[in-house]
Amino acid sequence: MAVDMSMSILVVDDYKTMIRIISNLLKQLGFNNVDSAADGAEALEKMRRGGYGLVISDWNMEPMTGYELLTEVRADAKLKPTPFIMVTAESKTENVVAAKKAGVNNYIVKPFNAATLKSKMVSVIGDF
Amino acid sequence: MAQNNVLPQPIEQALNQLGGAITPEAHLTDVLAAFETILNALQDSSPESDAPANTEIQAIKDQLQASSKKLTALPMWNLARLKEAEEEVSTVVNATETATDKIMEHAEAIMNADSSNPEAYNTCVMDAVMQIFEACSFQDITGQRLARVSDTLNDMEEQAVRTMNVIGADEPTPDSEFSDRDQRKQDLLLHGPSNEGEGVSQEDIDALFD
Repeated sequence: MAVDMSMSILVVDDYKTMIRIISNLLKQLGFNNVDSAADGAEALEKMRRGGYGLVISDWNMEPMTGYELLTEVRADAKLKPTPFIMVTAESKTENVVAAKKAGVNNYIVKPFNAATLKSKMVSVIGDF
Repeated sequence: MAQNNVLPQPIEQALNQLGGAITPEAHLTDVLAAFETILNALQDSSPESDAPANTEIQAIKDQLQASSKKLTALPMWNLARLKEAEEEVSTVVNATETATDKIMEHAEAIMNADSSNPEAYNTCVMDAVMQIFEACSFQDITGQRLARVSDTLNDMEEQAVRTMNVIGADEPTPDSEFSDRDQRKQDLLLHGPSNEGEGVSQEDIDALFD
């Protein structure tokens, strides 16, 4: 099934610059419907209000981390199917294993490039 | 027998005097001075004929004075430098953010530039590229600021090690300073960025998801 290029993507990061970078990369990839949140709590609130086709989240945020957001999303019957990619500087094996166990769809280590972002998105939502 | 329990008057006076002087807030130098006072009183009350005891007391007094000298010779901790270092780091964070914003702004200008007019497009791109070059100059200033912070931290570390050696303090074990914040970091696996050569690579992660 073709990827809906107009789908809404939620980028969650406490650094405005990182949100701007990811949003621009997504724009370059053809996704213009990008929303953002500064931490897990704000993201969860936004997710409960509206549907997102994909969540791209940082891990290390306050007060709610990306990992906590992931576990909340996977525990919520309505939000559970939302594809979730973690984009983080946390590169310890235990982080990757914990995220996978919690149901993350893919994991990108910062710093990353556009090609990595695209390939992980393709593996999660399909080719575009 | 009861007479044996009565302290010589000078010692009793010294102890009474010290009773109020040594408090939990007392400085280490105050404690050493207090011991010296007791030793002086002991020396005063010791018969001159008791040469071994007097020699022993004098040796302890010499040792105490040497320790006092070491303590007073410790460098003053310039806490203002720590405050300055904190401000330097804060300035670096702000400068980095400002420069990044500027670079992003001009990169976005290039990305959104209308290429239908080659001349205008070229002017726009060249102008943006020059602005990006200018913004990158932040690195020189922040590098110098971070070098100063590094100097301060090295000096503080040196002072801390010297102080610990003089007072005979052990290095704190990781458990002794385990705060609630550390507990949260451990529970939520908040390690932060790995140092170079540490952590798993993107290729290793990809293998876990294939």
